[in-house]
Amino acid sequence: MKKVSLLILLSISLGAFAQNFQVQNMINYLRNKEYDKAKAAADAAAVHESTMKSSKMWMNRGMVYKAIFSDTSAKVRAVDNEAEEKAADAYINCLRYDKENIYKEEDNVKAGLVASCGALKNKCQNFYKPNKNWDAALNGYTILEGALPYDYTQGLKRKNITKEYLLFDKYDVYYRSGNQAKAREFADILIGMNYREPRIYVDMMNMALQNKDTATALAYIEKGKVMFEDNMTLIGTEIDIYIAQKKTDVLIAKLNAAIEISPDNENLHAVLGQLYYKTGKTAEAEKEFLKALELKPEFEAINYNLGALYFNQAAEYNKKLNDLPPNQTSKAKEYEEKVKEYFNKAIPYLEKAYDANQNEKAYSQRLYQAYMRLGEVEKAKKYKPTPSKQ
Amino acid sequence: MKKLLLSALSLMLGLGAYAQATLIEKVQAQADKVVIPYERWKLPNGLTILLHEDHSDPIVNVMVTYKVGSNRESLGKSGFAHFFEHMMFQGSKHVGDEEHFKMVSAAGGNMNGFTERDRTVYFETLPSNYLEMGLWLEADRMGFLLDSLTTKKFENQRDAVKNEKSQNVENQPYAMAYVEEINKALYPAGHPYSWPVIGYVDDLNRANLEDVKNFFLRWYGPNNAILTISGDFKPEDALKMIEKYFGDIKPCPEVKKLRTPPVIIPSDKYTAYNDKTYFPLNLRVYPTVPQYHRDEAALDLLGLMMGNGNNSVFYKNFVKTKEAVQANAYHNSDELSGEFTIQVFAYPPDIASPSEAYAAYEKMLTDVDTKVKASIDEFAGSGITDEALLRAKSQVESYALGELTTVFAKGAAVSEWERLLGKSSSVSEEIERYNRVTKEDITRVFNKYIKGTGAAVLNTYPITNPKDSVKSVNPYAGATFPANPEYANLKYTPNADKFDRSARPKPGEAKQVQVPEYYSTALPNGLKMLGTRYNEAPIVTLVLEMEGGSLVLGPDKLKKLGVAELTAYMMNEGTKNYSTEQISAELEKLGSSIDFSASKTSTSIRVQCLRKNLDATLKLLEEKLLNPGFKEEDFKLAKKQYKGSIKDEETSANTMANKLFNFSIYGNSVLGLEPSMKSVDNIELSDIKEYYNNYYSPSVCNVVVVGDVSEAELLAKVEFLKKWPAKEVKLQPIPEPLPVTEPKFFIYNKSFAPSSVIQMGYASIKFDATGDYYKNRIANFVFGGNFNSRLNLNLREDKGYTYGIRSSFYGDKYSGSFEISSSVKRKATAASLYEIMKEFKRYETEGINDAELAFTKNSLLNQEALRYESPFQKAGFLSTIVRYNLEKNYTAQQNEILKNITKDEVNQQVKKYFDSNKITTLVVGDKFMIDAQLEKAAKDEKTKDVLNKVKLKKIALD
Repeated sequence: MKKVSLLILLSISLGAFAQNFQVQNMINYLRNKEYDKAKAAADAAAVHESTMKSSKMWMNRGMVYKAIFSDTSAKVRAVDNEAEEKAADAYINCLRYDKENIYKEEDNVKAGLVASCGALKNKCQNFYKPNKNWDAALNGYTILEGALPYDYTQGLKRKNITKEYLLFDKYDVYYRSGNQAKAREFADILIGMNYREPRIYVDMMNMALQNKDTATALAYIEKGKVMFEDNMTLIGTEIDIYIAQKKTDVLIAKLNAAIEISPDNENLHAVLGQLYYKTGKTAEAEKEFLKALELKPEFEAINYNLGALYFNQAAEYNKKLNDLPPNQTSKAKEYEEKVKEYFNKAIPYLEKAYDANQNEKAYSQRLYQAYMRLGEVEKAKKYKPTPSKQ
Repeated sequence: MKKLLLSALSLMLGLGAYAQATLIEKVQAQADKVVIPYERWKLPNGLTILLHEDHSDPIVNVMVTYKVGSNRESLGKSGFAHFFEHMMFQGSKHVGDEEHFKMVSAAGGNMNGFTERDRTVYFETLPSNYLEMGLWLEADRMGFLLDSLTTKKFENQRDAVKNEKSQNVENQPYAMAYVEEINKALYPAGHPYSWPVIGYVDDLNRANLEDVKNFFLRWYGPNNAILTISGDFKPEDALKMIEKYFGDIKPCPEVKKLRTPPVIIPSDKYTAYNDKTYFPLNLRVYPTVPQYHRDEAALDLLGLMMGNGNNSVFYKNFVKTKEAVQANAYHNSDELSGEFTIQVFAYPPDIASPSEAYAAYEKMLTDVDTKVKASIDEFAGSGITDEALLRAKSQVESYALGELTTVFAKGAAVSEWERLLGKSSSVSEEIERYNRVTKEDITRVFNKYIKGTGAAVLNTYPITNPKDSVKSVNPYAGATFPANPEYANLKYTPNADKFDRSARPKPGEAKQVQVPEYYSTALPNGLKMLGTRYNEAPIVTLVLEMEGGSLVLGPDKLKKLGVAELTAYMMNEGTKNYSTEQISAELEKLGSSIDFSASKTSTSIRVQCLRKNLDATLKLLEEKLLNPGFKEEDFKLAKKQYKGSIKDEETSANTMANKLFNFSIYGNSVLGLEPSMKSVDNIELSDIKEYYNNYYSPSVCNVVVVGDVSEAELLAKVEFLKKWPAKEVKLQPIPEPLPVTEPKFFIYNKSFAPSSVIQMGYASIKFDATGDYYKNRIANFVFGGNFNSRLNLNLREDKGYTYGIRSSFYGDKYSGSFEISSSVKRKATAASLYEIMKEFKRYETEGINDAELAFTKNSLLNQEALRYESPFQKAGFLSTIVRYNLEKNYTAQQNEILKNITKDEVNQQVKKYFDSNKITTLVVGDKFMIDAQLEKAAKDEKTKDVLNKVKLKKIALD
């Protein structure tokens, strides 16, 4: 019995000795730059129960894998394609198992953690993501999250490896890989943290619109605008939604708010002008059209719209003139002058629209009518409608 | 009759020949507002014309702003806008190579250009009778540049630009931080502001002539430009010239406004780099808003409140605690985006050994960063007050009103309104933009752009290993990018003229130049005062200069060299009745400044204020001048700052070159030595008090006043100067320079310095207004005293060794020198020495020729018109008169000498004062590399005769 126990004890101690020996092997092979052998020793030590919670083992394992990924030779780096992950993980475990707080004071451990996490982050950003290796990227970010509690020197922070950035990186992977549920989950976490990245709101808005969920899209837009009131993508999309929904009153208010933020956006003025015109607010419409043209003088549609606005005002006065009793001569004179005034106002804008697009019949028709009404027959000839061929 | 008819017809044709400008607006002066009156016009080809008439001086500024900067570059082609700016000075179809500079110099004008992120500006200030020439020159390069573009010019300027980067960025402490490194982190990849205006060297190396031509064709058209004329001219005359010279220049393709999304950093983003600096720098920049965004004014004010002056939270938390030599904040916007910057130049930690340096800096910068964020939180709690806002607004008002004192500044102001707003504006409207800001606005922008959002944070680690150097790293190096569609299908069609453009405009009749009228008075206590009325801007400038400086120190006091400077430092601190913070606050409320400084030869006090605040400012001057505080706490702070700045100077090649050059000429004397860490360390507070008591005296003080205040008014306000008790102040004997019997060569080693700073020369005569000193100035002009000098045309334009080289005779009451100075490409150091010495010997032997003399006379005579424009220039004129006890018409006497001097007389000056045997040469650069170059050059047939005697001896200040 005693002999058996002794044998058992001996085998246990020999076993432990063998694994400590593996740690020593790691160190020796690393010193000799025999990386494949160092890796084998490191891998064996990592899974053996006598060393798998040894900070010393993990530290040395970290050193082995750090040496592999940071070597200038491609042949060495090919010893293990996941050297960055394993190095980072090793240093994290070194510190995790460091109950005596010894390794926390080791400069090479702290520096090793920062260097390997930095390398892993670069790999995720510049290799995995561009190559759409989403799983590997996510795995990398998860490892990096594990390092955060051990950032004693703030070296990870200086490499922009922080909780917030990692959450966003993960969100980015989920979104770009098409995992909508996870993307939304992470987006909501980030939004809850007030993470200042407008892309999250734009992405969620676009995702909702793809799913034809306008209400959700509007909800994200509202949240986004609280933080990014200037974001024209959110504002523009919101306006498009309301246009589609024909919610004119709401739209006018939103356009005015958008214009306050982006006063030199001619499209906003153009849309607002059109809305005002549709709702009978001619003076406001004129103002917005003029502003749009001030910003973009060659804006074809608005040149036509403003020309048409004046044309229609001329037409109204013309109707009033025609409806007057014959004895109202002074009123007639007044209306005649107004007709001329508004046709003359309309013509330059209609001509500009026509110059931009001579195929548009509406432009030439209006111009023909205006010139004829003004008695400028020669000028009208240029715009005379050609009879359609039967 | 027929003849008459024909000539009438041709006259009519002539009148109608050029495209006509259309008036857009006339901005009129208004009684209750500060307005720059000007006219806005437009040509059919799209050129915007702004005309500001100002007849106060017989000068005119012609400025062309092209609405293109580095913002229109693309990845892989950085630096093109600035490179192109260089090409614009290389001549055009009717203007020879280097001729633009020469013509402006001969006219007595000055000129330059600059490239920024959003614009490129070219300007010349000329005597007003040369307006037409200025317009002709600008039109020629706008419309006819490509006709004269050659590969040789292109390659020369590529070198010049690379030299400029080497000299002004890579060899300048901290330049890389602000110009390159922070922008890589602050702006997203591909944003136009993410790369430096000067570009990356590999992009510049890849550029070719076709790129340059395309850049011109795409962006340099009249429709993308603003022509501004400011000064002494008649708008109707100017318009005719503009229509003639610019009217037929074809526009470029339409240039649409550039739009980029707002820059947002969700969470602090860190980056770092190494530089040859003394103080580690923590630089934190928050992205903000473009110019004229509704939040811009509030952010500018927030920058002043949070980070300017002795009451700022950063001053309190970093400078007063002696953790940093400087800590401040400011805000600035460009066309696409803005930046709120917080910078802390910390004192370096004690480092036991070089191997521990990095860790020590890392810890220190981490702590600084943490404290910066804590300071921001502290500001949030207590810094946004009505009083702080009022102080900030006063400073803005003072700056706005005081800035516009030259035709250049006014032209630039109206151009910028046009470029950014597309409409007119005024100084009053600008000030009103700030006055409208409320405390609530400040809180709002603080919360939105600073608190709870991220910044780009750059830590600068001082290089400790002498073998390390500053590296400019292009993040896109090696990458290829698709062709920019902006440059597709561009074709040059030469502009046709209706007149002979090769005929150069002749100047009009020169206008009489009036030197400023001034009053002069002497007080019973010896103080001399000169003043001149100036009412073009509502500001008053006073400069008080007390003779003495370090020249009062006997040989036994040289171990405390720096006491004059440190006393001036202390005079900027608190007084008997005010703490430093209190007196700063009082000055800020007024928008006034009072600054003491000292040099080897004098102590100066510069005062600037708005006219309306003159009385209150003079009260504070009285307090500061006559009741200095000299508190122990302030002294400790000032001493530490001064020592830190001295140590920091060792990182600046130019500063070291100046110091060592003086030392090589004057040795261990007051003129040869500079304050050192050791000498400043020896200074006690009692020394400061002693210096003040003994040497601050009205008996050696001259006061110059420029502003809208009469002599009688002023004298009534300066009773305190009359009561200032006089003391006898004696200068020590002025040391003689070290004897020189043969040329000497010295080197101060800066390993791997990207450029070498060369300073050469010898002791020479003191200042005298109308004697040999002035004649030396004439003799030196073509050698090294202007852009078209022999030195500059050789080393910069022909060889491409340097961004610039000049020579000058310097002199004051006590001593004088002749100096040649330049910063040259490292690998061309020996070659530069050769060329400089070759030019010097040539000039020494041959002297000036007739053409050069004529050019010199024209240039220097015509320059007179530009000499008295600004308050600063007027003050300089008066200072010279009172310092050297000159007659009012001394410049007229100089002009007579200049007009009458003959070639033989100039060459006599050359023979007497240009002496190659006396030259002492100092080089600040990499000794190892330069020695190798010299060794090779000593064997080279071409250079050995000149360079084989050059053996660089190490030099150091004691």
